[in-house]
Amino acid sequence: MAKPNILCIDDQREVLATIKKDVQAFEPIVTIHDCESASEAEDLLNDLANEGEQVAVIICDHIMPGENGVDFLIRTSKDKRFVHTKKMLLTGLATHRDTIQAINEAQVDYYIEKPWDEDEFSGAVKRLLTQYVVDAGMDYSEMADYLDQETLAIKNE
Amino acid sequence: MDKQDHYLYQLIEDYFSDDRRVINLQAGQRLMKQGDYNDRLYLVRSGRMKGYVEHDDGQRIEILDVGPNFFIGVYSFFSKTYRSSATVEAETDCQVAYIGSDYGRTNPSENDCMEKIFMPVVVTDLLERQRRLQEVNREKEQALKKLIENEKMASLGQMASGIAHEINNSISVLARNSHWLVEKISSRLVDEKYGPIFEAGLMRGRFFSSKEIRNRRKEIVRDHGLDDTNAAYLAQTGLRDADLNRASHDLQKEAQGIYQAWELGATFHDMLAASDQTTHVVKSIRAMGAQNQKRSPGLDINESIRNAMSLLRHRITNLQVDLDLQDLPYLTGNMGEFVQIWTNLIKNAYEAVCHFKDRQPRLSIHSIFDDKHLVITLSDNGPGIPDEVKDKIFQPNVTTKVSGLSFGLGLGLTIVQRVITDYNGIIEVDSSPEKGTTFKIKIPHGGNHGKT
Repeated sequence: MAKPNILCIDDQREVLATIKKDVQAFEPIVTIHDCESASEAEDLLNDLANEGEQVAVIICDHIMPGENGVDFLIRTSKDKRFVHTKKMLLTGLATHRDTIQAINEAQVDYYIEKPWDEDEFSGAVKRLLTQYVVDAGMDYSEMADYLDQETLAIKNE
Repeated sequence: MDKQDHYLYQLIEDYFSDDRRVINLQAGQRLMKQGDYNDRLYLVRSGRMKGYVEHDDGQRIEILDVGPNFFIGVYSFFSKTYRSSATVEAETDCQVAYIGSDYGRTNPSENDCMEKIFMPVVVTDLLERQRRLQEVNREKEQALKKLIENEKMASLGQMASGIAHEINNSISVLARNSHWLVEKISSRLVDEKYGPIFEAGLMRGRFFSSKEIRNRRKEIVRDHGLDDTNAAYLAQTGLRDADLNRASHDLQKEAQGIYQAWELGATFHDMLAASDQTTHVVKSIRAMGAQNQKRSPGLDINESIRNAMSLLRHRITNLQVDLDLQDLPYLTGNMGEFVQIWTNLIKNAYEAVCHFKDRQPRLSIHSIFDDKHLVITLSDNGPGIPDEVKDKIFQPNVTTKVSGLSFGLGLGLTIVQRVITDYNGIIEVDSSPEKGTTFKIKIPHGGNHGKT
């Protein structure tokens, strides 16, 4: 069965590498992609959609040259191809307003500040990934070990 | 001559042309004292006069500064209080003409007429006083604004240097320990199979963009027949085919191992770069707050340039630097301050030329003594300074660096200018898209040439 995809976006290569390291724990059940800008991520999303791939989670930095993270996530949230895709905003410098906008308009599922705590981060990715698998109606029998049991339990109630 | 001037000259002619009613004053001499009796209206014929209001606390405020064809005593004369509202003194040697309150009393009809005639003079005088008051107010407001701004900057500076101190302690531990770990691990891996792979990660870091990595991944799948996951591992390393083949004969099996060795190196590369950058930021903040750096004689500016170069060498690897350093006389100064000037300017140049991928990045640094000044020029072949920031590059918070570990605080050139000004020097910039950017620094030097 095709693995769902996780997309990491940060303009700073060194930070991008650390995000990827913390997502790598899920590598057995997902494919990880990284992008250095919103426009690059958009191209990649189109490619993935065209190939019939499933995008489970987008982890996105806010302050980037070009389009910022919140604006990018707002656009993505309106895209019918990615209705189930979970969105995580990762930022060190978001204003109060950016944050409100992110929640209200981009329907960001999780908000995390830099520098992040590894447990919090991978816990969040795990829950979002599980929620996606459930929402998208995927057969998760082979990946259950990597998923969040609580989220699965709620689903099975 | 316009209508108003004509009117004024006629008035002067009619009332102030009698040479019997003239006083000559020497510079500093007093014409009238605030509060004293005065029943005369004066006209300044030549020289400058200043008027002051004295307050109870002894403070003197200038309210009048007039030259030829201006009137003095307008208020006491026409209000009929006959009390001077201000103390008036000659600023330079002066000649004044006057009329007394009894002037014209022998001829009542002319007297009535006189007040009408003088109406424009009174109004002009009032207007002038008003204008002057407004100006004083405006100056005061600006001074206050500046004072508040300075106060803000000072407390901000104190807070910043406090934070900088704290960060500096932590970052020193991180930086030192990272270096130590790198040395230990390097020496352990030196004979290992993946030693060179680790070194490659350590030396070059992540020089591939995510896009380049994706392309390279497809290339590896095609050329080496690896599966997608393993190809992705190898693609990240940026290693060319020759390096990969040297490292392993079975890439499919060893891809993950190679990647891990490389990632270890690249991670250290990132840590060192990040701690370097933090150290630099901390230094900049402290330099902003620092004053009275210790200065000693015998400073060789050329040496400070060479010091800056060696500090930056590992960061500016692909920048071609041409040094042409002529003998300079010694200066009394602080080595650290000058090293900071050059590192800031060199780093700026480097960042500018590296974003401009059309040509080989080049920087030439030239120093010479022109008998009065030490002249140092730094010229790059970059894209020039964008027009919108050209006028304000020396102001704080102006930065063109927005991304990556090279993000800027916008303090670099502010510090540079501040230090150079401290040495009574000047810094000039000449920049255009065709010629690149040249910074020219001139520092005055008087006598006692010590050869370097």
